[in-house]
Amino acid sequence: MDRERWLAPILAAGAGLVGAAIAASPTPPECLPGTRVPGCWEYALGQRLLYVHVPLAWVAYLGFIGATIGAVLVLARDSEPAGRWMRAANETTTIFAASALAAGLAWSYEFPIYDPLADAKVQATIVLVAALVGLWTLAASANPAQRDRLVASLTPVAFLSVPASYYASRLVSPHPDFLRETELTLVTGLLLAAATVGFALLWLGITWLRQRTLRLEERPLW
Amino acid sequence: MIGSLLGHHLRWLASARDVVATALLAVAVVGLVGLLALHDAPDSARAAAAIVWLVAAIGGLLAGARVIAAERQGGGLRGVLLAPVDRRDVFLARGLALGLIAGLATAAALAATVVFFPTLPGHGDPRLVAIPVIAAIGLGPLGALTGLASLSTSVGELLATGLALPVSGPLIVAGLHATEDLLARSAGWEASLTFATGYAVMVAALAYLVSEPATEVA
Repeated sequence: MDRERWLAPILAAGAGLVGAAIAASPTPPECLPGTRVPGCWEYALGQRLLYVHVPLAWVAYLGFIGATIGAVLVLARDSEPAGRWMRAANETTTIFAASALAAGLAWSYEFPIYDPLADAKVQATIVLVAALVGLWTLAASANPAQRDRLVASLTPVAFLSVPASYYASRLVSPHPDFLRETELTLVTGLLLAAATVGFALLWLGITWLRQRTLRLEERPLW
Repeated sequence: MIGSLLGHHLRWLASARDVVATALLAVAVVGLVGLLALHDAPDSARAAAAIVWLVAAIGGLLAGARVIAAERQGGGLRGVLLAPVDRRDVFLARGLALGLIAGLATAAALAATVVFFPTLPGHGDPRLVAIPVIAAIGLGPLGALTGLASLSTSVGELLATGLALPVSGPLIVAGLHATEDLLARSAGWEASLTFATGYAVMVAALAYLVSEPATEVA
C-alpha cells in the first residue's frame, strides 16, 4: 500500500491525542505559591502547558537523535534518502525545540517568581535551537552536490547540545520540575504520555512530508 | 606527517602577516575594550572571566574562520588538499594551529586581568593554566571544522561563526563559570571545569572523526 496514505491518519491521531490531553488536563493536588491567577494553580493556564512544553521538549531531543542517526548513515553509506531524512529532521526539530521554548516562556508568565533567563536549561536550549538554525542555514547555502555530507559532518558535533541541554538542570541550576515535586497521578501520567506520543506522531508525519518535498524538489526535471 | 603539515601551516601563517595581524588585532581590540569598560565592575570575577572567554571565542572561531578563508583565497589550501596526504591530518594541522592561537589569546587575556582586576584573590592560582588549555582543545578543532565546512557554502566564512558559536556555547559558559570561581577562589569550580574539559574533549574528538567529509568538500 502507498505509505503516504497513512500520513493523514498519523497527523490526525497525533493532533487528536495532544488536543485531548490539553483539554482533559486534570489539576495537580495542591496550590502552588506565586501564580499570577488568584486562587489555586489548578485554574492557571500554565498547568495545561505542561502537556505541550514537556512533550515538545522530549520530541525535540528525540528528533535530534533521529537527525544524527541520518547523519551517521550519510557518512557511513553515502545514503541519499538518509541525507534527506537528516535535513528534514533538522528542520522539524528546530520548530519543535523553538516551540518548547515558547511554551516554557508562556508558562513562566503565569509564574512570575521564576526567571527563565537565569535558568541554565533555558540557556542551553536556546543554544540548541541556534545550533539547529545553523545546520538549517548550512543546508540551505551549501553546494547541492556536497550538501548532505557537509551537513552530516556537522550534525553529530551539534548534537552535543542535546546532553548539554538535558543535564544543564542537574549540573548548573535547577529547572522547575513539578513532575518530581508533586506526586504524578495515574491520569496525569497517562495524559502526559498520550501528549508525548501525539507530538511524536506529529513530528514523524511532518518530517516524512518534508523529506518527500525535498525528494520532489531535488528530482531532475528531465 | 602531521608534524610537517603543522609546520607548513605555521610557516604559511607567518608569511600571511596581513591576515594574521588583522585577526589578532581584532581579538586584542575586543579584549582591550572589554577590560577598559569593565575593570571597575562590581562583580569583578565574572567580568574578568567574561572577557577571557570572549577573547577565547573570537580568537579560536572568528579569527580562525578568517585565516582559513584567506588560505583558500590565496590558493594554499587547494595545494595542500591536492597533495597525497590524509585529509584528517590536514584538518588536524589547522585545528592545532587555531588551538594555539585560541590558547595564547586566552592566556594573554588572563594575564591582562592581573593588571585590570588586581584585587581578585585567585591570581596566581596554578589551576588557571587549565583555562587556556581547555580553550585550545575545544575551540581550535571546532574553528577549523566549521571554517573548512563553511567554505563550500554560498555565504562562505560568515557561516562559520554561526555554526561554531552555538556548538561552543556550553564550553564557553562552563569555562566562564570555572574561570570566575577560580579567580574569586569560590567553591564549585570543579564541576564547571570538569564539564568544560569533558565537552572540549568530546568536541575535539567528534570534529576529528567527521573532519574527512568537511575537508573533502573544501
